[in-house]
Amino acid sequence: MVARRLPAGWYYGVSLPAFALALVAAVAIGSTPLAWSVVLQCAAKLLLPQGWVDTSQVTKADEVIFWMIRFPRVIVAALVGAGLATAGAIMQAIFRNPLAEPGLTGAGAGAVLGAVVAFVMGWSTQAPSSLPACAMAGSLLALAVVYFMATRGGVTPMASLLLAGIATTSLLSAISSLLLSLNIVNWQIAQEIVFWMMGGLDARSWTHVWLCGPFVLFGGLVALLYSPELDLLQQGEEVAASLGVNVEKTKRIFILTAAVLTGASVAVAGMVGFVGLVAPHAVRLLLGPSNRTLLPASALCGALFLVLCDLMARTAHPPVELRLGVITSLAGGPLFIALLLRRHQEASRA
Amino acid sequence: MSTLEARNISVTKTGRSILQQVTLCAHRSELLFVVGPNGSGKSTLLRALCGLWPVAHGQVLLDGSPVENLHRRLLATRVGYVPQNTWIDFAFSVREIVAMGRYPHRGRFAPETGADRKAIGEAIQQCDLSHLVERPVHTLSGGERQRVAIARSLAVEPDFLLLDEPTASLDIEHALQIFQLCRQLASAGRGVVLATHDLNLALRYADRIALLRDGELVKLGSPGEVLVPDVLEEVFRVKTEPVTTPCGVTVLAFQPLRRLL
Repeated sequence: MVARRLPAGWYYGVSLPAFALALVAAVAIGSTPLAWSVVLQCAAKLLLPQGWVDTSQVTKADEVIFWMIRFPRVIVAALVGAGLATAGAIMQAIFRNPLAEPGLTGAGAGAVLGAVVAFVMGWSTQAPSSLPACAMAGSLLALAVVYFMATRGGVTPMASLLLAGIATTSLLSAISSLLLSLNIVNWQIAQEIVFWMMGGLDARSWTHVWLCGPFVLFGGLVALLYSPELDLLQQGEEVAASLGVNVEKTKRIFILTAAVLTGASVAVAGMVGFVGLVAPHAVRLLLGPSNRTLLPASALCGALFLVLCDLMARTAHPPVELRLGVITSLAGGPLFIALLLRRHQEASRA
Repeated sequence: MSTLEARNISVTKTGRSILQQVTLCAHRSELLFVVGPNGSGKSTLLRALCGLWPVAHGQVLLDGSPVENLHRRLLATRVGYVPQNTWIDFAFSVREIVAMGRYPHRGRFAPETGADRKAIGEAIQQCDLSHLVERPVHTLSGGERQRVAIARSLAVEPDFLLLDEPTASLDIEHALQIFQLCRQLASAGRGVVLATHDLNLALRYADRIALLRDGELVKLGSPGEVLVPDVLEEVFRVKTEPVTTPCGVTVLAFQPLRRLL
């Protein structure tokens, strides 16, 4: 049995057009549908110099829906998907476990708690950007707690990090739930908390794009830059060290990068499960585990997946918007089971 | 002549002393075996020799200069290390794994050079992996995986290669293959240091043997000097009888000192 892999060119040849198509569809479809031609004209106007495109068919209302409502939301969905998928790929490599997910070091639960605190204290109504700021701070604080619990004498064993991460995650989740139950009588706050815990991209704007985009881009680039070290860590810490990798420093870089990616994603979208687990896992089956190929390809896969899930969340059951986290888990769960079954089949054939 | 030398080294781990004042020197073109009972410090000695484990006292010297002064990448290009457990649950191909051995030589974005390809190709050939290059490593047998791990260290093109119990989970055919490979590597000019529990194979393949007990070097010398009944009885607490077979191979037959009840 040889490693059957899709050439990366084929992968991008299929997934890039699919992603473009998904973007157009996600902007076009909605409670007020936009004609595909209108979407393409708006996009062309965005990309090409002024005067090249004839936008006489596009009404002012169309333009507002495209520019202020749908397009930023779709971009946020893509960024969140890419961020979570990249964080998941990093976690799976450093924990040497294909079932690791972005929230393993407490960053996800920390971000949720940060946001819950912002809701309960009423900061989120006074200054909307305090919500993502609190979420980001929560995720980094949680990571700091986990990291210092797991580190002795400058060395951080991954097993300790995992245990500290799991313990902290359940503690922080419990505090979030406690705050929710204390505020259950105040239905407005409670509703916001519940929605946050189920994830969603309703009313996301360009502010959210700018809040999350730079972190996702930066984190993605750092991960890509260190991808040879990530490959080596995946072989085991002793192997990496014997080949000249500064293991503890590299681990710190990756743990922090994954937490920033997770924090930035949860900060604008709430808790969205399964993307970070499924996207890198699926892409690894197609393209192989080498991280230089895997990281950008899973980012694209996560972005595509989340744009489609958000489209479904908006349109599946009008006029109610379903929660994004529910859709990702409903779609991601069966997908993941299918991948596992395929793996079993291959194992029995090998 | 290149040397890798432990000069009077002691290693402690969480307050416990693992190695005490061990002095030995590995040379190129030599196959040096490290033997000793469980917990005698074999693995720690190898880790200290390749700079993975800090020494509390004494020094590890590569060609006479302390390894802690060398940059970790530079040290990695001179001293290769194959740890005991190299199991991995990801579908890297054999060639990808072996190519990772070039990491200390390569720039961050440098493409594979001719020298890289040559070193990878030679490592693959030496370890007899040519027919397996495209195979995902987690589908290989234990013996094949061990050869892949050795090939990865050979792709570094190190002067010294340290192997921690490379045959621990292998059947006798594959164990003999690994020892023969190490023998060839030493004949080709590398210094090979190998920790093992198999005293009979040590007797057969070693140029020199270092015998450890409780973190101390008990004896260092040729197999004929080290693997003698008196010494083995003291260190391993077994009775040893050398037997020479009709085809001229000497093997050691072991008996427990005391019968278990």
